[in-house]
Amino acid sequence: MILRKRGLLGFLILLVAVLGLAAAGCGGDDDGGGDGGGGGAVEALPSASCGPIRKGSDDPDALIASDLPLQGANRALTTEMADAIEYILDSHDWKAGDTVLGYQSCDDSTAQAGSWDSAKCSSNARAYANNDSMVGLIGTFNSGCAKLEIPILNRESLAMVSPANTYPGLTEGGPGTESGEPDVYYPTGKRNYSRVVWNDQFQGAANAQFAQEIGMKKVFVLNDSETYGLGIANLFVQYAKKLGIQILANQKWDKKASSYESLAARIRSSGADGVFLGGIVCNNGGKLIKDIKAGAPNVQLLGPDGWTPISATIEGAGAAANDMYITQPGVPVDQLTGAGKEFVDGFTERFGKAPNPYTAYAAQAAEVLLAAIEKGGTDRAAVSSALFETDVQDGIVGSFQIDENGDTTLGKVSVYQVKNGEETFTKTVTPELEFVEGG
Amino acid sequence: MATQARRLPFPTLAGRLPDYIVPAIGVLLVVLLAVWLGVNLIKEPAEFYRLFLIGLTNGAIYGLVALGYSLVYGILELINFAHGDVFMLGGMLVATMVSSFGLAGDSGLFLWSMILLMLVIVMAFCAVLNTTIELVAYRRLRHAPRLAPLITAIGMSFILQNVALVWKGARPTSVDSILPKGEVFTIGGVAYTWDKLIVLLFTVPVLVALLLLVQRTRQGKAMRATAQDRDASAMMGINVNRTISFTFFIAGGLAGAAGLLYALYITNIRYDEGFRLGLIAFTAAVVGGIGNLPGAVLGGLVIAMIESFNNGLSWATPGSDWTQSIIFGLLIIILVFRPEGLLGERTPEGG
Repeated sequence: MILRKRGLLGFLILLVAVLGLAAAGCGGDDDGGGDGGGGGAVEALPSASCGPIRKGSDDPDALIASDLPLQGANRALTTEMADAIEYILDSHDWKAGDTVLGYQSCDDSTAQAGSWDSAKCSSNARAYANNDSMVGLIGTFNSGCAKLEIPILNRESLAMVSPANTYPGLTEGGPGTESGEPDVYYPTGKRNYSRVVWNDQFQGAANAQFAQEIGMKKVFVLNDSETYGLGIANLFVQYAKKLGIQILANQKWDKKASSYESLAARIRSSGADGVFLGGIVCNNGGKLIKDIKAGAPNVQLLGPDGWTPISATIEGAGAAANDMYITQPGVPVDQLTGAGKEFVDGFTERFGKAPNPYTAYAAQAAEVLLAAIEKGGTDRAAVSSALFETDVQDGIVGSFQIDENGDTTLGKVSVYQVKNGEETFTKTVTPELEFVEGG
Repeated sequence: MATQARRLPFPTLAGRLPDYIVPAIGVLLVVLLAVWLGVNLIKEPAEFYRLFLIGLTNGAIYGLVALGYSLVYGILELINFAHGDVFMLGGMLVATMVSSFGLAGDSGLFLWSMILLMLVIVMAFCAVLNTTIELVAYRRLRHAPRLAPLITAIGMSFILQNVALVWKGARPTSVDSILPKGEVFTIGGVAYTWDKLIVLLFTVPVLVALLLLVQRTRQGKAMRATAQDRDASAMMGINVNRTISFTFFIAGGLAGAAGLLYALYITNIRYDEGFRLGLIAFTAAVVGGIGNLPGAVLGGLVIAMIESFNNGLSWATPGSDWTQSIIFGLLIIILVFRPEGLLGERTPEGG
């Protein structure tokens, strides 16, 4: 009797402890951080999340910031993105029109999570909104974090340009979104958020098209059950069905499971010729790929940009990553032309390595924000509405407009394949707008 | 109402229902389960065997960790939350040793002697660590309210996790695959491989040795006496503190052995793995009857089989979305209908 009571009590307490434990991802190196160092007239953002103010020779009149996960698996990529933003500001002499700008790079991740953290996203957003010097934000990296930050910034009409959010519901309703989106993120009813990367409707459509091209007939879909992962998995399913591809299942992989052997057995017995992995490499992706390839060696793996940087996938899965296809936005950086090529060359010269595809998008996001500040000055609402008049000709990632939802009109998706532990460019897929919108 | 209350001072769900309902529900569940497994076995025997072997292997690892929970619970009635993290640190140590000894690609006698050496090192490490935890965090709280050591146990768990976070980072630590993967025998077209057999070859002797230790030796008698009545056993001349330390030492050694098997078989370990596996193992211990040693292993097998079959079978299977719900749903069912766990009404000290 005593025994059973205590067993139950202990179990209840255990459950509470489990609920209280934050979710964990991957990654881990410490952030270099920095002191809050201040400029003259502007007030710096809190040093708990943000690095020192980077500026040119003149003291800034206004601030912009970036909000990226600077710790974890994506650290190498996100610090490079922050460098690219600084590089763009530098090339504009830290000015947008008459406004002299300072820039702070802020971190929305924690070491424990190894990726973005919801509490940090919310507190960062409040810091941006409450800082009167802030005129615009470049971010976020993760769609889940953007969900939290957009409404807070929207109340203060603070402009936001994301280089990497691909979840469709942030800007529009339709395929792959939840009911009430996107209006739930804009309490004032006036938009303040735009992105220079396409949303996942393009990516889902492109993945489905590519799957058809390489002859996949029966696809087993897995998702990591997060905003991004479930969203892209559902979109892939939707577009693939339209193309006549048979979807055998769409189920989750538990990111905390110790092995996926039994899941691999199911994939094998289902007779699938391909597996689409809707999710991010951080969610135990390396082990997942290893186990699938061990249990069902003949299936072709296909993943969206959650598996980038591709080097992280290769590092996590080793030889099992070979032959996997992974899509990324835009075209490979070595195929950029005009302003894009200038950026890539200049960046490579200054930092000693070629930028990642997403780094080019960070630079493009900075250009878009600077152009809006040039029109709107230090008036937050004017900067926000100027975002939607963006019309870039021969920009870093190409020519495009930002539509009234805040989405880019540029729909190029690149497919890469892992070969002998190296990423190699396969082709670019540009899904027709009618196919995408017809969802 | 009043008479009923007198008859049933602690009305339970089972108590309010007619007598035949509870066994009937139980039989129904078992029949449904048997039908489900049977149909799947007939439809795709190869997959069934494959999943059975996967479940058997994972279950052995869960069982090894669960044994440690059960031992400590049996003697102190304390859920040692840090146990899973001791196991995780053991796994991390093995990961470090595998890469620093450069074992990838080795085989034969050298490999086996190195694995044995690693086993000794990691068992000693975890045993000492677990004993130290008892000394630092639990011993002084022995007469404190029961919640106090429970909270320090959760605290120790977080401390160990953070140690691992600093040591290895938040990314999963990959371990070189060094166990031989050749097949031992084939059933229904499915190969049973050496790496799976090795896991069983560890677990079964460990369980037998542990049972012998608890039931047949002087030290085991002291453990059982301490579990039954600490004060009385002290009066009988048993060194209670040393007996409890010894229990923690043994439990730590088990965690170390499980850490070695996990690192070598799963080849992937994360800083928060201990918490997750600890939760599964604790559930296994409760399912089997906490304090009951064979029950702990049985519980581990049951949970691993559910996981494996539910993730892998194809006929009328809920699939991986539901695995956790099913495992914990089962826990609730077992606790409601059979609070003492699967292996009956034995007392915690029964071994």
